[in-house]
Amino acid sequence: MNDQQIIALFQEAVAEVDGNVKLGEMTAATELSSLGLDSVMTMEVIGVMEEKLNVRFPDEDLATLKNMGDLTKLIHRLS
Amino acid sequence: MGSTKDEVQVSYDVSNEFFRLWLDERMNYTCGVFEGTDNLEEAQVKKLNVIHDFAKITPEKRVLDIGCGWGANIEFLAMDKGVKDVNGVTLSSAQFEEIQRRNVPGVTAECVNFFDYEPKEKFDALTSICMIEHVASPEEARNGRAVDLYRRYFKRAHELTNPGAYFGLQTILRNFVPRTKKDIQDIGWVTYKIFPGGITPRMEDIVMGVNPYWEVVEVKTRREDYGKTCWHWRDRLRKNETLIREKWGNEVFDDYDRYLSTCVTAFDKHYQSLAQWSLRRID
Ligand SMILES: C[S@@+](CC[C@H](N)C(=O)[O-])C[C@H]1O[C@@H](n2cnc3c(N)ncnc32)[C@H](O)[C@@H]1O
Repeated sequence: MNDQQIIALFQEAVAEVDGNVKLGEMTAATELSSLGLDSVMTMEVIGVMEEKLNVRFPDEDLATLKNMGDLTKLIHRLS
Repeated sequence: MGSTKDEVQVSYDVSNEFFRLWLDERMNYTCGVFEGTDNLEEAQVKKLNVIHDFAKITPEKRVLDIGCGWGANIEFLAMDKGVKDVNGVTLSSAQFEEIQRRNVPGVTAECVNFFDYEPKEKFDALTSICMIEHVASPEEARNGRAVDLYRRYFKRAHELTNPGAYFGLQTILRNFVPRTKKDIQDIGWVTYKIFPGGITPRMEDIVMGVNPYWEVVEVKTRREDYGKTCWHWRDRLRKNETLIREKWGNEVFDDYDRYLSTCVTAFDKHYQSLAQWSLRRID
């Protein structure tokens, strides 16, 4: 799975959690905090991604995620 | 700095009679050990035995129980184990009153913050059953301060003990964050509404926090035992529903039912676990 596909998967997961959230153009530099998701929604999105990818992200890694690039790196590391 | 005295009162000063209705006879407000039993009373005695053994307590040793609740452990040590000099500290006035009312020979308690406690003599053994959950607040944990705060607690414990001391410690563990909205909200609600100012520690934070004062000799986790304990508490709470609603109001019953149900789920789904630790003082 390449970075573009991971970003697309993330967008799908956000739509599943809340169809009203509008995500603009996203790159590796996009900060998670700029997406307008609160902390509960962020964890829900993570949960959906875990299901789709059949992986489990360790909490201590999640705590350090800042941007989409960190998320793609984490997924590459775990898969 | 974790829970203040006012916050501790929110958690433990609802009413001694209220807690007496759904805890075991000695009023342990922590996980029991359901080894070979399904009975809450027996499970609590087994738990107290584990902590006693982990702290290598003998009748002649001078013992301190940090965060002693309504006195279950200090009473057990004095009455069932014949320990002659047992001491406890709690930050809750209601709990302290109950300990005084029980007036067990050999037991001395103080209503004081552990960090301000200045005993006349040092101790040969320590126990602390789920008090460390009050040492760091959620904000402090988020800001990366938890390990320093736990280390301060273990340092103080070290200062209060003689060389050769052992420490029987029990802690809840925060294993991972739920991924569903309901579970996240329920756990957040329990954290802020039922136990304000506190947060359950992560295992790795305790492992770091004991250094350089205590050596981890043994660790035993008991996630399922805590699930069972909470199930028993909720069962007893529900059996007293009418009385509780009459005496303390609907909100108290509904809050405690939601809190205990959240805990049953949290242990079942691995969000939380429990650990018992035998620590040896690094002299
Ligand atoms: C969950 S209760 C456990 C009580 C008891 N150990 C038991 O097993 O039933 C936590 C205890 O820690 C005490 N506590 C919390 N913060 C404290 C502090 N800073 N100093 C002393 N006691 C404290 C509370 O008053 C309460 O008695």
